[in-house]
Amino acid sequence: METVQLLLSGFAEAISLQNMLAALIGAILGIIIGAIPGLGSALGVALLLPLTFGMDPITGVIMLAAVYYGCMYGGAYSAILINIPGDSAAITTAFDGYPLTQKGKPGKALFSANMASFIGGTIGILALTFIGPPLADLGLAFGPAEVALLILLALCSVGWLLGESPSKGVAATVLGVMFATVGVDAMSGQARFAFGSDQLLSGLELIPMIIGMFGFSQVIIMITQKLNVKETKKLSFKESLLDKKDTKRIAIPSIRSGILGTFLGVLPGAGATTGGLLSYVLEKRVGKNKKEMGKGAMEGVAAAESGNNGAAVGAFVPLLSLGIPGSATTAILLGGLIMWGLDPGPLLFKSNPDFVWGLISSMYIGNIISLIVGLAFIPILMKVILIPNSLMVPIITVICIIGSYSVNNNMFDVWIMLFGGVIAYILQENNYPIAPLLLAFVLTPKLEMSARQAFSLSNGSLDIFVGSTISIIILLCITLFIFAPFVLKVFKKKKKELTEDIPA
Amino acid sequence: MTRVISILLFIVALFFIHQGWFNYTFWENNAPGSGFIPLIAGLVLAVFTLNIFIKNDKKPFGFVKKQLYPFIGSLIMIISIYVLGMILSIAIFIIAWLIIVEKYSTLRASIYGITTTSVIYIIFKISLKVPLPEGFVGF
Repeated sequence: METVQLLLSGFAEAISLQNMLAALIGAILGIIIGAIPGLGSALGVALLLPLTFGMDPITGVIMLAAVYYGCMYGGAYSAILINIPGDSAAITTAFDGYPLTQKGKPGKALFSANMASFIGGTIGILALTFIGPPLADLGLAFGPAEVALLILLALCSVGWLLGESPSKGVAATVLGVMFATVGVDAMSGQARFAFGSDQLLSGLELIPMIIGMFGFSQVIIMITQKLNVKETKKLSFKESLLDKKDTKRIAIPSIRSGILGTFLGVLPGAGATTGGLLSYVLEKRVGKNKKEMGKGAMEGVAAAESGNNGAAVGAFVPLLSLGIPGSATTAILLGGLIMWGLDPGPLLFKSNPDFVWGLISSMYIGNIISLIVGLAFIPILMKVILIPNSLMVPIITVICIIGSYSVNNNMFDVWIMLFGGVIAYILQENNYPIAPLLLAFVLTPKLEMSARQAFSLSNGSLDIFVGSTISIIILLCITLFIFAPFVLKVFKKKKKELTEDIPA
Repeated sequence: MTRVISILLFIVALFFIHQGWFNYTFWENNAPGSGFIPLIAGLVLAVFTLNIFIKNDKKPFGFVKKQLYPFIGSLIMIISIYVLGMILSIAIFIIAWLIIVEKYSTLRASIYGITTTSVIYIIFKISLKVPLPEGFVGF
């Protein structure tokens, strides 16, 4: 009851014309920044942070929360419309979002993404409001061993996305692991696979690789495809609205993924990408329409978006309760909070209740405003599909180049994008799936670091990986993920044999 | 083509195994060293590429000559960025692409090229203040 009262007082603090305007501007800017490949939420918040220092702290934080939310919504748009995820969190959104666009249903995909983002975000905020501190304590129970096992679980779950040829899927995943080892090893300081290049010492940058592997490889494929205008001429906003059946299809996946994503967001370092991936995998495993996933299922878009938005909000739990940022964006926000004279940590809720509850209520506002702005953008965004391929190819090529350049303002990243694009095209043409490669590339550095920290803590003993209930549960899940497909296959074969043996 | 790719990947795998074992440290101070992941990844890749090579899935490589155009176009554009700068290179790339590859009229191609470049200039240079490479013309 006390929480509700505090939240209401937060709303009283947050709701004013000035704050609403700040949220609206933040949401619009966030959606635009999030939709531009190469920028993403961390850069969006970092760019706008200095602008908010002259504002009242609550107005400033409302604007930044809206920017953060807007970026999470916007990241999905480019993934859905042109198959270039705005940031790594939206990789899984492209799995079903782009096929839906190719089927002439970009509006439905965008609507599903917006609604699912809203649901995932709302679940995250509700968790932050009512069970924030206990959740943060649970997050702290995840030491290096547990985090390493969790990332390993995410990597093993990639097995469900392997596509037609499991061997090629595993080979692509391992290739992703290999790409991630390029550069200076963070623990020993040894340069790996840098071939004497100073630029390669910092490794292969993630965003240019994503842009190249999804975007540039798509350009190479698109050039031989004729325009789809005829099929999409009748595309109307009304037809893109979600009907009762569509809403029913995305509701349960969004709720399920929002809960999982929020929990993953609380864990240190798991992040929105892991949130989106594991939510997608869960949906592919238990969802009603799992066979359609990967071919343009609304459930896939909903699971990925709800999962990554839940995780994005979940990252606020350790930030506010413990002063530990759970993601790059929350780390930048932490800097902002400190500059406003606040001390995020266990005492923040007691020492600055007005600010904390103002921030939490501003997240509800930011989420609603982002949804409204996102929905208002859909009719404009749908026009993208009407642009002929002859024009889209040079424009996407330019977006790939400038998007990868603007990550670090470095031309070397443009070469990485080109390299990634060509490799992805050749692999795709030979039936190697690209998604597992990229996901392994994102997850490996965290896995390597956590595993090595765990071994250092245990003096090289493997016991640390079975030293807690959490570890044992994750290990059991990993075992299930690895062996379940084989067991199920044998079980199905036996069942079929038995059915055939029974005389009619 | 599948066999060529598996041979190339197998060579990459052997290289990672070699580097992981001989040049980097596999295990140090009671923890995996910098060669641990490269070696394990190399071993797994070697096993799976051998399997792919033996299975020899004969999927035809659907490559057509036109698919080289984006690669060649991008390559020329990236090199021209060093000389002409980002904005000018973008404008020239779009206009040249539309005229040469897509057979647009010069006027139509110029309108699309200049409009797109202006939008990019406004977003990246003016709004986001991204320091774009300027080249010798300073643009």
